Amino acid sequence: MLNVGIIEFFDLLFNKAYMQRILIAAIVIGIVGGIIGTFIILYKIIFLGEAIAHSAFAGVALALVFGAPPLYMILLFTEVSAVSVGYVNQKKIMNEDIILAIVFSGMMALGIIFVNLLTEVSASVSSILFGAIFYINQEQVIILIIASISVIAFLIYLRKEYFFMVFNKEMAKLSGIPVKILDYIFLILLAALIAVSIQSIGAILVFAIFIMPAAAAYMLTYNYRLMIVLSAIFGAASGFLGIMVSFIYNLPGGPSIVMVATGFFIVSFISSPKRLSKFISKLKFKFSSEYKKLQEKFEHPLGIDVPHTHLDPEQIILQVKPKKFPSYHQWKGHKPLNGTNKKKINPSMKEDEIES
Amino acid sequence: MKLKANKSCLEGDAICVNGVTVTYADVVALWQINLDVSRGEYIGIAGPNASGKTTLFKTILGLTKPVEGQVSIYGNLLKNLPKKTINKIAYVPQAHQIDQYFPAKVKDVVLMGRYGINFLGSPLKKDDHEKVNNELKFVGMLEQKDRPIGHLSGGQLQKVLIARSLVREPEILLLDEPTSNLDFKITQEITELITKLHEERNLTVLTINHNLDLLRDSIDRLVILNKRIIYDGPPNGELVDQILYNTFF
Repeated sequence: MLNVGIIEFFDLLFNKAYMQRILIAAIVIGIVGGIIGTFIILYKIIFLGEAIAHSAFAGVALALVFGAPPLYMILLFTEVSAVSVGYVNQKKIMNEDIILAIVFSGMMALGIIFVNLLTEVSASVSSILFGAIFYINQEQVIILIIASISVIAFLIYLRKEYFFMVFNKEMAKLSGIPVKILDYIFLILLAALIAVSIQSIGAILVFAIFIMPAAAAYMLTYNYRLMIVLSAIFGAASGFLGIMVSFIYNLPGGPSIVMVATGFFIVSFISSPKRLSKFISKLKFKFSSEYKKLQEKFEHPLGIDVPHTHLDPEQIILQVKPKKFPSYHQWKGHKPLNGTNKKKINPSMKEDEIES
Repeated sequence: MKLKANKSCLEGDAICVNGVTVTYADVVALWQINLDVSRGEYIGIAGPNASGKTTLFKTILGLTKPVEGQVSIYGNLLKNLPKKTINKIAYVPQAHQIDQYFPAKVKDVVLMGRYGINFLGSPLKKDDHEKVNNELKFVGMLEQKDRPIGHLSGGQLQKVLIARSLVREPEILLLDEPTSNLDFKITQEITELITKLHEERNLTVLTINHNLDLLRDSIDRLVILNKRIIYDGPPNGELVDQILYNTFF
């Protein structure tokens, strides 16, 4: 790996094709991850994406066992995981978390078994787990760009419908939106995107680049359209800065991108107008004349004159003390619950007579 | 497909529920429900918890499939409902908790009411935004249109959800406990708002409501439900009181 300064980095960027490929891949993954991440966060299906990403590991391991192209196997495993989890969720067969945990751990275990079958563990396994953006080839970049443009175009075109679905799926369905079909399409697109991004960022961290920019944008705005735009900008910036940092400080590419995205999230969380506006309005209220008036009112030595009465304590005790409950019910027409005792009780009867 | 009219349903009925039974596994939620709702009628539905009120609404809306019986809207069976008829029905669900940071403003949520009307993905028109403003004005929330949806109180959120249903320009309005968890003043405001809607726009209104004291003077019919229909008739009178008492206590 290279260890260069900022000037050399830009020199490489303008002169070397491999450097341009790496940066294009990082920025494209950042943009598309940011856009789809917005819907993932609002859908609250973060763990689902994580499970799909981990199923890719089993796919690549199986591809290595049979010597098949990894991308097709990754696609197969991620799509099967996404559709099966989607089916279980829609049919409400079981709790979403349980099925996700089964897919997550089951696929990881399957991947490890496949790796064990290999006579020698190749570099491909570690590159799938941790990513190998510096070794990305032109074909992979083209596939990534085509997949990303398709996903972005689809999501932007149906943004209103998806936004309604994340707000209230039942109401969206009642309004005539084909919720089930759009749900499946979303999962299929997500799985495809994970499959094409995984070779650059790695199975463990790929989902972070989908979540972090969107989470950062989520803290900054109440406008979902702006959230999509901000998330894409944060994603692209994370991709660019992450690669730059990794070149300058000789760090791995995927983790560097994720760390920059994490930095964006931390900054936006701290400076979030959503959080700060509450704090500022509290402060404003505390130093307002209204607050002072309330303070004066409540801190008056005599307090607030609430209407009340003064009662003799003995009287209170007398009021609260319960009256002695009669030992026998002597209501008119009362029939004892015990079927054997069929004697009718009259109010005029004495206690001895009732007992007998 | 036209529904073969049973003796309780008439040709011009807005909603016709015909012998509907709904079960959740082996638990009966609704048993042999027959209900006809004429155009422009205002019906209050009351009943204890788990008596099948929301299930009845979900069956009418096609979200829950009955094991027996059928539902028709304007004479069309639910499964064959044309898009035009679907757009005439609006539903106001029970207000749910919304994340305080959710990236949507009041106007965005009301605008959602227009999303399913046109073809998927088709852009909104100027007319759609005007409708949003009009309905927000009608429910008294126009000044709040730029507020984040997660910052509203329960009563305000309920008004916004009503406005969202109104931008669909519905003929049938179903409201599921629009005044639950609200104080007396807001309950009164929302009840008056629904009555005004019914009177001014001649909407067919079905509302599930526990505040019968407020509702009784405005509704045309009261339906008391407890898995099956216990009572269906005028909202006032000693008989109704007695039936209500027996159903609830």
